Amino acid sequence: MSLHMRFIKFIAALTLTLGLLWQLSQPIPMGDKSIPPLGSFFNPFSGFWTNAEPAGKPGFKDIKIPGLKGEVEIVYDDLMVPHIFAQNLEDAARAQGFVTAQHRLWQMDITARKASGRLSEILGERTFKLDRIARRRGMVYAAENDLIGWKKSPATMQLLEAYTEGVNAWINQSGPSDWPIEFKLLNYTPELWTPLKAALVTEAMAETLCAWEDDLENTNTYAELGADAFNYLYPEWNPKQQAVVPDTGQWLDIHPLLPPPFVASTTNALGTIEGQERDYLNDGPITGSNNWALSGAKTKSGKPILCNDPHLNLTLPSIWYQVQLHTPEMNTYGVSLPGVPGVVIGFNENIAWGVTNVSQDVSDWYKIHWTGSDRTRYKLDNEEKTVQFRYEEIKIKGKPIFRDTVRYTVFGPVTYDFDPENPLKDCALRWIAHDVPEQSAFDAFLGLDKGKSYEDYKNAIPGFDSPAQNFVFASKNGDIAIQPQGKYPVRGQQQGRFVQDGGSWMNAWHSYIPAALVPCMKNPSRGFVFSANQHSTPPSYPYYYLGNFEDWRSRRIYNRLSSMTQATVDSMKNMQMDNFSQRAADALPIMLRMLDASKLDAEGQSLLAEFKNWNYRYESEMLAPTLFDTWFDSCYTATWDEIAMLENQPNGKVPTDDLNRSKNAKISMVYPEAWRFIEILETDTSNVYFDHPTTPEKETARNIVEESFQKMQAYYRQHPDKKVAYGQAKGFMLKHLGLIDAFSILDLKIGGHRTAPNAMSQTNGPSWRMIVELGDQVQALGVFPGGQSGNPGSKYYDNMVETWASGNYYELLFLKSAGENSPRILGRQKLTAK
Amino acid sequence: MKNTLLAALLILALGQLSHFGLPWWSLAIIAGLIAAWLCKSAWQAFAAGLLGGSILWIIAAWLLDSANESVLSGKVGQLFQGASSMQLLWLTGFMGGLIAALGALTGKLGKDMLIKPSRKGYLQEKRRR
Repeated sequence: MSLHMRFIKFIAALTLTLGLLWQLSQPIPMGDKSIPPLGSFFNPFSGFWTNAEPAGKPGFKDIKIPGLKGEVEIVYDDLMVPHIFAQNLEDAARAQGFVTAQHRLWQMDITARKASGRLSEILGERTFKLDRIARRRGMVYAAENDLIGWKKSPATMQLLEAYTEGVNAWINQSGPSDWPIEFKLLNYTPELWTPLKAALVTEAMAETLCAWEDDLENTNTYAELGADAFNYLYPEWNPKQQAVVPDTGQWLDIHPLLPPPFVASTTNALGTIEGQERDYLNDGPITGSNNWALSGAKTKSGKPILCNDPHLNLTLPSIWYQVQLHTPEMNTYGVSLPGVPGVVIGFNENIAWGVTNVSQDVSDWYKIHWTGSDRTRYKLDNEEKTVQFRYEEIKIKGKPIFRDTVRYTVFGPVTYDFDPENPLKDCALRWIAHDVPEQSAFDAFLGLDKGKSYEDYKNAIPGFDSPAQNFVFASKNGDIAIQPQGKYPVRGQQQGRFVQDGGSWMNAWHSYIPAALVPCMKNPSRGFVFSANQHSTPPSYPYYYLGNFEDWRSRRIYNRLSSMTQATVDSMKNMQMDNFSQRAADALPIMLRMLDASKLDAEGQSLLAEFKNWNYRYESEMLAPTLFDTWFDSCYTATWDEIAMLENQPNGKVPTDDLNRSKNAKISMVYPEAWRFIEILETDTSNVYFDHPTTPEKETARNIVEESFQKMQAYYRQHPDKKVAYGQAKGFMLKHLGLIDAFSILDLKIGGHRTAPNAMSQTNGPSWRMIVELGDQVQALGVFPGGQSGNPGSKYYDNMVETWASGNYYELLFLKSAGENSPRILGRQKLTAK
Repeated sequence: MKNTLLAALLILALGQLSHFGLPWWSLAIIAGLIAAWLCKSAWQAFAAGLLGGSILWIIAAWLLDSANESVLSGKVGQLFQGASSMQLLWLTGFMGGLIAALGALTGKLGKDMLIKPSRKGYLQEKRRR
């Protein structure tokens, strides 16, 4: 064979080999997603196979990590909860960072990325809009401001830095074989953690919990309906409501100086603003939570019991990560947020605490008066002000960098001016979570983690400003308390309800409710405190506030707690799993009364029979709740057709009452709250809104109820497959954070409803159920829908789901020392200084 | 035949180096070097690579998969059009085999280009001396 021939053969083989290697190193496009490069993904030494954790008993290796001051011992229990025993707080924080990274690194990464508008770096153009809005809403600006505030408490900052270094110690000693599978699927590598990312995680929480407002929708609704109809349909206070902190005369002598009422003429002057703001934003105000504490007088043991179940987006990996932190100055157990140090909801030997969202509106829009078309200067009273530019660089995979300029006014960023179609294009966003905080959010939680008494609780939380939370508290020595803690602007009546005039400084937030007047309650004679995202106070509270408040769970919880005696841990379980809907209990009797059963045919009679013995519970195996939701929604939408017409929607569709607003409206408006709808249905049956403007007849509430019953009947005749038990009809799911179906649980057959204490929505619900009975020995139960590990290849990824779904709990293993023995201990790991 | 098996065995043994931080495509280079050293023909090289590479990858993956009770492969299979755990294992083996086979072939042909191949293989030559 000639040399020439051998050369050709070699080149051919080389080309073929390089071709194969190249092919295997390229992601394979599939629609707008892609399959990862096959070579690295299938390589059994560092690809996805290495994420296949042994299903047997796990082993734990001792590890050296830099920066530790002493030795740390970590005890893992049978739920893979780390119990960290450290000789000082800094070491505990460092170890917490290390173990959290080991289990949840990708979740931390994606949460910080989403908040900072950096998804497109890894996902390409499909997340560009989301990134741009995150930047333009000032998420990074807010996180940077957090750090400025947090640095005011150097001790806490040191803990945050130790936590960060702990995370990075794990990253630095890991290789591709250790990295979470999502990095491999999405074909990118982990980045080091930073304090800024921790701030982004807390801002992501703020975005979820306190960014909701109805300014545009209320403005339009007011302009379209006029003052009388608006005030009639949208009262702010439900008289049946039980506020978090009731009026006990504590505000009698308090007469703060308030800004003038927000005048309606200003609202009218703005008029109707066409367009849709929220194409980019997901979710509605469906997140909520319950917490309560009972004094010893209400419990069988005579010891206080505290419960909390925060309702959040139910994802896999779970939003929460359980941990016990033990140092000479504290011993605390509870759930933490991956990415930030400390325990957020939990207990120690002396106290227990929990949080629910306060749900006050701390997010306002101000209409800016530009003085030129370049939008660099604007009028404020008699002055002309210049905007400050903030430059955002959005990296997009496979595309050039996108550079965005965001204009900041004295109120905040002008979010939507890039989009001439957006109704808020000339408005600036004033959001509490943009502010430099008074102190670190961790100060509050670390204070509670270490707390021993009511005084410690009262000292710990006042610096916590956003997202405002109802901090419930109980202590071993018998105190119970609750405080809707946050930073709240002092508002004039109705201020913040509508888009405001940004041409007048008078409309800005000038002061905040002083700490001493933030509502609070300690040891009430009724023997319990509670919150479920309802109003913080009754209208007699001397300050005006507004928000998105819950009306059903709180009433049910109040009723049950009021009548409860001899409470035990079991009765608490029963309450957290309570599927009784106050909405159904209020509405159904009225609807049944209005329905003329004699007019129904046999099929209608059989549907009606389903309701006869219904106990208003949304249980998985029941048909009645499926039917009721359809009937109620139908009533609701048939009533508010006038609003849909005013909204000028292309499809004329009325939303259901859980959103109160529609998509694709030319003019976005807000729909009445369900409690008000039911009230009008009962008390004002000939209200003009019951009449269909499109028919010559004059319909009343009775007609609406009958007509919607027939609609329901027709619907199930056409779709017999939908006439199924509630759990099946609803399609509850736990979605993977990266929306990968294979890593999700998509067919949960459970009960619950957002209007019941067990507040399940399709993808939202009790993200952590905790019950703590304080006493000489703390008895604590808890469960969340997921597992400690974020790895879909681990048996600890979703091992708690079944227990959670069936309404069961785990005894939380609260260790006194590292040496304590328990059959539930899986293994021990020592961390020592490198 | 003996050389082929020996080469396959060495590829299997040294291919695990990628466990210690080498990238996945190092398998092609390792196979190429071993084949250049041991294999007498291009076909032998290809066969040794295919055998060594596929067994290496399939066994490494199978060990992890069986300890994991196929929890993860069941989920990953859904991302690959519903492939079963077994199919994923075969696919892994096939990929490892192909990478090593082509690497080995290139290595052997590269050596042939530089050094005129003798009628007999390395071992025989050595023995004769």
